[in-house]
Amino acid sequence: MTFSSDTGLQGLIDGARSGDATARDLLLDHACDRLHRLTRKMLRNYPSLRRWEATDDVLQNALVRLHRALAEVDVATVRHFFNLAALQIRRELLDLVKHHLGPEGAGCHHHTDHQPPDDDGGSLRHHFAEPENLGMWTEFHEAVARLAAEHREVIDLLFYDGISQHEAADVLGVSIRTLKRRWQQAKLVLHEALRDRRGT
Amino acid sequence: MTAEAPDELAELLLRWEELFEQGHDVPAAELAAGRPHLVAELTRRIEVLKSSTWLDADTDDPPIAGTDQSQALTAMCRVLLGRYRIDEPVGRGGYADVYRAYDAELQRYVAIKLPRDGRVVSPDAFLAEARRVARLKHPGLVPVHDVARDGDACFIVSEFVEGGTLADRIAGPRPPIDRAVQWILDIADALEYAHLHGIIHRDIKPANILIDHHGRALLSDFGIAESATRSGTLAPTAGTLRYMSPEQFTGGGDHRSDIYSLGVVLHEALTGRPPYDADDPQALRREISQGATVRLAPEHHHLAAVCSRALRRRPDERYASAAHFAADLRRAVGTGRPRWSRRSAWAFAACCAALSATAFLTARSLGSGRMEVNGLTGPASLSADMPASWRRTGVLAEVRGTGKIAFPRLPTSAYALEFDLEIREPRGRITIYTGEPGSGVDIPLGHLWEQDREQPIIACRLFRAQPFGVNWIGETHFKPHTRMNLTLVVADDQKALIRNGVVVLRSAGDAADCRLSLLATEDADATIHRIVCRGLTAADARVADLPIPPRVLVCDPMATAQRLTAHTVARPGMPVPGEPHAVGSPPLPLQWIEPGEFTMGSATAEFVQTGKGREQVQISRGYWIGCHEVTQGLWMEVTGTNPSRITGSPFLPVNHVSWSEARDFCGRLTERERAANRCPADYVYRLPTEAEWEYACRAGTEDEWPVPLAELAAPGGKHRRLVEIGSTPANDWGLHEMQGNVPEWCLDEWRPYAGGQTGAALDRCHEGDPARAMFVVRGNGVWETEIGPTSIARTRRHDIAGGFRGLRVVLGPAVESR
Repeated sequence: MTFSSDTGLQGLIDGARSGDATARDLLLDHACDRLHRLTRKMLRNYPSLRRWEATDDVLQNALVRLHRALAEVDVATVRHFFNLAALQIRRELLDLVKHHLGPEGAGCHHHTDHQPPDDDGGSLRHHFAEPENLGMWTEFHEAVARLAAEHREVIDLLFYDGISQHEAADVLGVSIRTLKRRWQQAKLVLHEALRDRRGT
Repeated sequence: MTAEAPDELAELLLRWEELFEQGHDVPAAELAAGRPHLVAELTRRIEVLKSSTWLDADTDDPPIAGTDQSQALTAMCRVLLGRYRIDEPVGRGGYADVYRAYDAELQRYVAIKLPRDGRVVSPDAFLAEARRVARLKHPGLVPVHDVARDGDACFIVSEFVEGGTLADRIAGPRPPIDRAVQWILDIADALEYAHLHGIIHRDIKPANILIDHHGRALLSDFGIAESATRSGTLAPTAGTLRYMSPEQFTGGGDHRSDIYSLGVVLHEALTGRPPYDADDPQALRREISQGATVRLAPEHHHLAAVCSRALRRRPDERYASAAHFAADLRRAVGTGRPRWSRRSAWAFAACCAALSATAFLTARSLGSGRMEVNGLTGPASLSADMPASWRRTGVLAEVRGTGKIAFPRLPTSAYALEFDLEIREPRGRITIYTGEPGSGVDIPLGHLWEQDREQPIIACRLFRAQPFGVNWIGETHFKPHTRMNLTLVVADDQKALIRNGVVVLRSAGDAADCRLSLLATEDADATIHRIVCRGLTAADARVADLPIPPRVLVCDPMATAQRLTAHTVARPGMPVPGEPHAVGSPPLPLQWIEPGEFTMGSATAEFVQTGKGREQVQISRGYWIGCHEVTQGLWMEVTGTNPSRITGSPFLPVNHVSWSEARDFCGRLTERERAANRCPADYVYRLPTEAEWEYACRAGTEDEWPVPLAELAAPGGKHRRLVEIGSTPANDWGLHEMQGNVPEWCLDEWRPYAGGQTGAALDRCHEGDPARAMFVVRGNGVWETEIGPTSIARTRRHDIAGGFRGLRVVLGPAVESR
C-alpha cells in the first residue's frame, strides 16, 4: 500500500515532525489499517474465524492497544516509528493467534485443501508459499522476529508497515536498488529459516 | 548468504526481477550464461522469489492466496468480450477462481469462473466439457449462462447467487435440522439428475453448495473437475480431502463417491463437524481409509442410519443412487418426527391458557378444553428465522382437537392453512386473521348465522380490509353438521379458499403481513379436528391458480437503461443545492426541492387512509429526493443482496423490505457516499419525512392527483403490476411513480394530523421506535387500489417486510440537525 499522492508519505512525515496532529493521526490510522488487513489475510482461509473477526471485539481491542502504543512515540524519527509499528503489529498478530484463537483453536491446524498438502516436501520444498493455517502464521511471525535486524527491518517496512519500496528506501536513506537487493535477501533468509524450522 | 555485498548472485537476481516485472521470465541458465557454477543456486533462489509474491502484494481480503494473487489482481481490471466487467473475486476452486462480474448487456451481476494460468491445458476441450455441463438444467444447479473464450482466457458465466454458502451457514449458528435436511435433499435431487446425465461432481462440499436468499440450496461447480480431468484437459487436482471418499485417494470413484461426500456434508450440516476426529492431513487420510464415525444424537437415529450408509467404505455398500439416498432421508425425516420444541410448546400452551376464557369451541372428540399437539414434522418450530419460501413443504404446526390458536408471527407471507372443521350449530364466528388485526388484512371465515329457518346453512365469507371498514367480497355456504376440509392459501397479496380441491373464494389486492391467528366467538359450537399450517407447494399454486412468487416479471432492462440514460445527468461530485444530483451506477437521479410551506392532507377526504385531516407545515431547508423509487440494482449495489419478492430487472423498485431494513440501507448509502466525498457534511441519505414526501408529491399543486389516474396506467395491466422506474409520467417536479408502484416507507411513526394548530409545524417529523411504533407508508402501491394512489393517502404498517413495500431516498438535513 502506498500513501495517496495528495498527502504523500514525505508530507506526512514532515507534517508529523513539525507537530501536525492530522499527519500524525494519519500515520497512526495507517498502522491500524495494516493490522486490520494483515489479520484478514491470516484469517482468509477460515470463514468461521472471519465471522469472528467481523463480530468480535478482540480485534478492536488489539487496535486500541496498537493505537495507544504508537501514540506515545516521537514521530520525528520516522524510521523508529515504523520499526515500532511493525513490532507492535507483529505482537498483536501473534497475540491474536495465541491467546484468542488458542494454539489448538478452531482454525489453527485446519487444512484448507485448496492445494495438495505438502506431505512429503517434494517439489514444494523450494516454494515460499503463504502460510495456510494459523499455526504456520505463528511460525512465520516468530521467524521474522528472530531475523537479523537488517533483514527484519526491510520486512517490517514492506510487509508489516505496508509502505512502498520507494517509500521504504526513503525511510532507510538508501537507493531503491539497494532496497530491492535487501528485500530479496530478506525473503531468501526468511525462507531458509522457515524451512529449517519445519525440517524439510 | 551475504546480506548486502553486491555479489554476482545478488546482481543476477536483481536483473532477473527487473525483467520479470517487465513480463519476461528469463531462465537462470540464460541469465548466468558463461557462469555455469551459479545456475543451480540462481534457479533455486528465483523459484523462492517467484513463490513469495504474496509478501509483496497488498493484503486486501479476496480469498485468493499464494502465487495466484497477482493473476487475480490482473483479472479484476478486465472486461471479457467487451461485456463482462470483472468486479471482485468471490471464491476459489481447485483449478479456477470465481469472480463477481457485471454483464453490461443484460445489466445484471453474474459469476465468472476463470481458470488459473497453467491449469487448463487444452482450452477447446475445456470449453467442450463446460458446454456439456452447461446443458444441465435443474432447479438445484446454478444455471450456466454462457461458456466463452476471450483471447487466451476461456471462462464460464453463471448466475450470481446471493446468500452465501452452506459452509457459511454451518460456521454460524447451527441451522435447524429440518432446514439442513431440506438443503441436502435439494442437492441430492440435483445430483441424481446429473448422474443420470453421466456427470459426476467429485468435489461436493459445503463451500460448493450455495444457499440463495429464498433458502434454496444450489450446487455449483458441477462436473467440471471430474470430466475435465478425465479428458486430460486439466491438471489433476487434489479435491477436498475432508470430503473425499476412500476410493478417490487412488484416483478411482464413480457417482457413489459423490454420495459419500454428500454423506459427509449431511453429517457436518447436522452436527457442525465432519465424521472424523483428525485435523492434520495425514491422520485424516488414515481415518477416511478406515471409515467414518457417525456421531448423531440418539433421537436422530433415523438420520444417523442414512448417514452411515452413505459413508460406507466400500462403494457397493452405499446407496446405489442419489435418489435412493434422498428417498431414505425423506423417510427418516418423516419417521423421525422431531418433537415440538419446548419453547414453542410453552408458547402454544400459554396462548391456549390466555385464550381459554374466550375460547368456546365445544370439545366433543377430545373433551372440553383439551388440545392435543401431535408434534411437528418438517420445521421443528415456528421460529421467526425460517425463510419465506414456496419450496418449504413441511408442516409448520399441527393441532388436533378443539380450542383456539394464535400462531407466533409467521416467518413467511406465503403459506397454506388446512383444517378439518365440524360445525354443529350455525352460530358464533371463527375468524382467521392473516394480517395485523385492525390494520392489515383480515379474513373472517365461518361467519355463522341462520339464514334460512327451514334449512339452516352456514356461510363462510372472505373479507378484506377497506378504508371504510371491512368489506365482504365473497360467500360460500355449507350445511351444518358437515365436516369440512378447507385450505386457505395465502400468497402475499392473494388468497384463495379451497374446499374439496375447488376454489370457492378468492381475494387479491391485500398483502398479508405474516400474521395468522384463529379466533372463535363465544357461542360457536364446532370442533377443529385438525389444523395444519404449512408452506405452499406447487400443487397448492396449481389448484389455487396463483402465480408462484418470487414472481419474475418480463422486463426490458436494456431499453429502460437507454431511456433513463437519456434523461439522467452525469454523476457529479459533491451535490450543489439547487442542482440535480445522482447516486449509484447506473445513476439514480435526485431532484433538488426548494424549501417552502404547504398544507398536508385534505379537508374533504372521508377516511384517515385517504388523507383525512389538515396540517400546515413549513419545510425550512431544501433537500434532494429520488426521482425514482430505490431500484433493486441500487439496493444490491449497496447491500449485496436483493430481498425483493418481485424481480425481473435491476430497474424494478426494491420491494418487500421492512422499515428498519430501509433505514439501514440509507445509513450504508450515506457512509459510502460520504467516504467518496459525495455527501455534504450535515446531510444524510434517509427516508423522507411524511411532510417531505407529500410536499414533493404535490409538486406545488393543491391536487390530490398530481399525475392523473388515467396516466398512471402501467404496461401489462392497470395498477396491477410493478413497473420499472420511470415508466409512468413524472409530476411537475420530475418525480416518477410517487403515486402507485411500491408503497413507500416514510421516516415518521404514525400520528394523526394535529388539527387546530396555530401556525405551521416546522419540519414536521416524528421518528419512532421500531419496536413499538407503526410507520407511515405513502404512495399506496399497485395493490391498494381502494385507497387510491393519491398525494394524500396514508397508511400505517408495523416494521415488517411485507406488502411489497419499498422506499425512495432523500438526501436531506439529518433529522436531529433540524
